[in-house]
Amino acid sequence: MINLKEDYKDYLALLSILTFGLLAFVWFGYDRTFQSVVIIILAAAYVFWGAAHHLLKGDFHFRVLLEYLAVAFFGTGLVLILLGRA
Amino acid sequence: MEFSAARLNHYFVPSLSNNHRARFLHPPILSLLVALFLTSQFFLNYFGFFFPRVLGYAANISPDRLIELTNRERATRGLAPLENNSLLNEAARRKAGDMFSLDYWAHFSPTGRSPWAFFKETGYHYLFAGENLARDFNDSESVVAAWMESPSHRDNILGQDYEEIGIAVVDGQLEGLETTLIVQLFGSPLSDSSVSVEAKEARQSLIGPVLASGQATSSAEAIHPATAGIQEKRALPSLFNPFSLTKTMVIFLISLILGILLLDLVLVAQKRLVRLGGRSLAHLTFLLFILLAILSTQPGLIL
Repeated sequence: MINLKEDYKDYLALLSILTFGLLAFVWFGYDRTFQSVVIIILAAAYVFWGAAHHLLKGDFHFRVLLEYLAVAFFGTGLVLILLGRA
Repeated sequence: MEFSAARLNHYFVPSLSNNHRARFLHPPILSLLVALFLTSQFFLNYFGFFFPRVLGYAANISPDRLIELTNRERATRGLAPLENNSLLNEAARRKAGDMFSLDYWAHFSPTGRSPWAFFKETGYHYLFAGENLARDFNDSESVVAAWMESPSHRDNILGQDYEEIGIAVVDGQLEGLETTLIVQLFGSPLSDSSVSVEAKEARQSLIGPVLASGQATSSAEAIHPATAGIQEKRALPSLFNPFSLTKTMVIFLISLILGILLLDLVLVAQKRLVRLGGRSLAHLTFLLFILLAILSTQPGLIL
């Protein structure tokens, strides 16, 4: 369950990472290779955030990590496929 | 009716039947969605072989407009406009033809021909030369905007050494897809024989060939009067744009998952459910940023 009062710092960190990544993605819109690298790094940062967050909360489990990996692959894969068409 | 409601609950609402997570968010259903999407992309890739001219990029791009936009960018920075040159137009057309016939997307031809070879073929003798390439864009404004966002292409457009420009906008099939190819050539003609050979070589050695987005120097003669840029359009435009099709599918897929995640988040909070798993809010946030990245992506490649 989410407890925003306790977890707001974690979500703030996540928002910062994602915002920075999105800005880099848009800023280098003319360079598809760079955009691909940015989105892969963003996905890796997201998985790392998930692992760290659950470790700190004391509810880390391998299946939880797999879930974050799956979401990261899903999102990244869609972007990479689209960049391949662009 | 009850059966349908129970079915909908099972797939979209956290409950005892789906281990308190919407069935739609379980790996088998998600994997099925991904597999369906990948299959559609596979068919999209090979559709062009069986139905030529159905898939491609139908563009509204004109050489005159490209030159106008280029000179507008120069004017806002106090630079002299570039004069349209017919030899550069012809060189650009030949370069585009070479790219289509040998099916390559690069400054240098697979046969080893440099971009400057096309200048020389048409008899344009340059002191400075540059090349910008673009493909798969929808309109002239997007092309110039993309070039201006790239430092090396912007350097060509705003190059103070350039005096003349040539443009070719040619439709054809490149790497299996119908597209519109734009070749933009910049040149500064070598003036008359009053410039000594020593001075020319000194100038060359100072500047040197720079091929970040295609620039070079050379020695020669002659200036030729300008005419309009070259445009060669195919008889019929393509029906479907593969980028737009893919983007629509991706937006639909992500929006669907986002909607279900949001419902999951709200219901879990309402029911005060405690479960072992990832944070739906985190997944929702990540996928929302992915959606924003996808929405910001526009078609078109520059080189």
